[in-house]
Amino acid sequence: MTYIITLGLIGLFMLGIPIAMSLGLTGLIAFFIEQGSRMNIPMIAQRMMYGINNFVLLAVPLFILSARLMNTSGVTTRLFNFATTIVGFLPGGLGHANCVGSLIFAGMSGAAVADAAGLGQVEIKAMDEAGYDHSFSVAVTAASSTIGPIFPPSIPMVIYGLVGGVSVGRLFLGGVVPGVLMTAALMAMVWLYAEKRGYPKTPFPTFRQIVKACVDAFLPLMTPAILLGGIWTGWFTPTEAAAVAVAYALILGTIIYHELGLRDVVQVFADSARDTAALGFIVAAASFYGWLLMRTGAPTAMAEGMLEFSRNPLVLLLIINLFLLVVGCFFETIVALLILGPILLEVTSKVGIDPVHFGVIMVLNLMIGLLTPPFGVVLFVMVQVGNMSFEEVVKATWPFIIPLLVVLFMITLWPPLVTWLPNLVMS
Amino acid sequence: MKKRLEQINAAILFLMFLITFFQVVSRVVLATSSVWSEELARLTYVVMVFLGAALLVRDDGLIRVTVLTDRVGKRAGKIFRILTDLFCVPFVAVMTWGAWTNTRVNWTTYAPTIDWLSFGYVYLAIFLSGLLMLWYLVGNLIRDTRTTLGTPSQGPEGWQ
Repeated sequence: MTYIITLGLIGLFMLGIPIAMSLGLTGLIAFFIEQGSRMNIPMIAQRMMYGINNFVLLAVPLFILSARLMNTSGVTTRLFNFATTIVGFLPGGLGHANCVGSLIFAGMSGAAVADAAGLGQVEIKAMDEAGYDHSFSVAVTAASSTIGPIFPPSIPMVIYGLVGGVSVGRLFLGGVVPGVLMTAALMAMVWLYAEKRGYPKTPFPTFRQIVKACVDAFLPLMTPAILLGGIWTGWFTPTEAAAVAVAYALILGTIIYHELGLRDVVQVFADSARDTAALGFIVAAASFYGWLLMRTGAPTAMAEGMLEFSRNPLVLLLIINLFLLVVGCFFETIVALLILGPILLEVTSKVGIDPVHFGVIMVLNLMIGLLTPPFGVVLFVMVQVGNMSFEEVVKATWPFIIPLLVVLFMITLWPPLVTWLPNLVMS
Repeated sequence: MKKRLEQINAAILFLMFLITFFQVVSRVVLATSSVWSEELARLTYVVMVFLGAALLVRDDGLIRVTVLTDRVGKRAGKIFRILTDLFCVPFVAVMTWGAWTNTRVNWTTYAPTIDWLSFGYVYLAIFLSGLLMLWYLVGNLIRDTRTTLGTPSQGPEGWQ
């Protein structure tokens, strides 16, 4: 039974059956084997509805919406110009601007793909025009897009919070320091490349230029402040913060910048509803599947097996990291969180690892998975945005995985990098 | 019809946003917390996911792993797609059947905070979305079977 439910699922994934349908079909077969013809059929729809009838999950469509609205309303260009002014004078200037721009955009979006596909286009175009190697521009864009779901807000952290019963507000705050560290690590890598290849830098900005850049980007820059400030002060929950972000993005795009027409807005809502359904249907099907998986007792057995191996938190975390890096190569982030999240949390909570600490580690791990073949979603986006072959993108991007691994290692070894801020603010 | 359904789903998302935003405004600005908004927003989300999933079935837009299927030839790819749709049918059919039972059973079970909203309505939306998925799956199957049988295999890229 355990084999059917695990290996069967992987087999269906590999055949190219949609993830949600694979989860549903494997669950159905296991359910039938368990209960035979007396199978409680209404239970399937009930479990699916129960799995997504959750207010925390509503943050997902709303953050998808706000990121799309920002991308469509010219906010991304303003942000990139701002980033170029403040860090462009460093060697390899636009490469740094790419990283900083992604960090700022991460403060309003919760998905790496929104960053890679939206801001990425602006970044790659600017870097191409300034004479950077195209493969370098694509690699920096791909790597820096993974900051999106680490620095708050974050769609993967919403999902982790949901499956693990962990405060999403705390998880968001836990991602702040690691997000900044990732930016710094990637900038160090850009610096190395720039020195080696003699990449250009822009002149040091004058005071007037700095003021102008700040004024131009002031309103978009307020988004992260409003989001984090609101969650911080307890004015609104993460889901409500997402609704506020959408309202803010709508006002910026329509009334202030006049770049969003009614037709654009309708299109953005239709596209976001589509993305929402694609993710939500997986969550619904995974909820049915997960319920059956729990009944087989396999997760508990797996957790006990891991605990028998070692009860040292650090050893366990390192093993889990290795395991997740492999998983990240093959699994979609949300699926990995939905299925493995509860199992791994059972292990880590038994040896006293903070669930917020583990959440950030797990998400960062899966974000690295977005950059690793054969199933790295950001790589696929880069093939389209950067107009390169998959192999070329992989070859260009892999060195930039190293700084991300360094950050992963740092936050694994030293938990306060994650837990300090949420404990300070929300104690 | 597809365009119309997409617009309906966009409108449901807009409604969900309005309700959630209203919830913040009513609490922070008007200092009265609304009791019904959270539940209504959640249920609109459920409806949006199922209806949207049906539209994705039509366009082959559900998220899937394409590592293997991208590497096979055109004709094999089509056969994979036929298999995919065939595999989807039993799950969707049983889900839809169960949704219908739930619709009948819950027709008079009302949401705790909204006295006019029956859970039966939500299950009805799931049931209708399920029917729509089946309709699209069968349509895709017929189309793919026809084109697969109709086109001969082409060179090394083909079925061999």
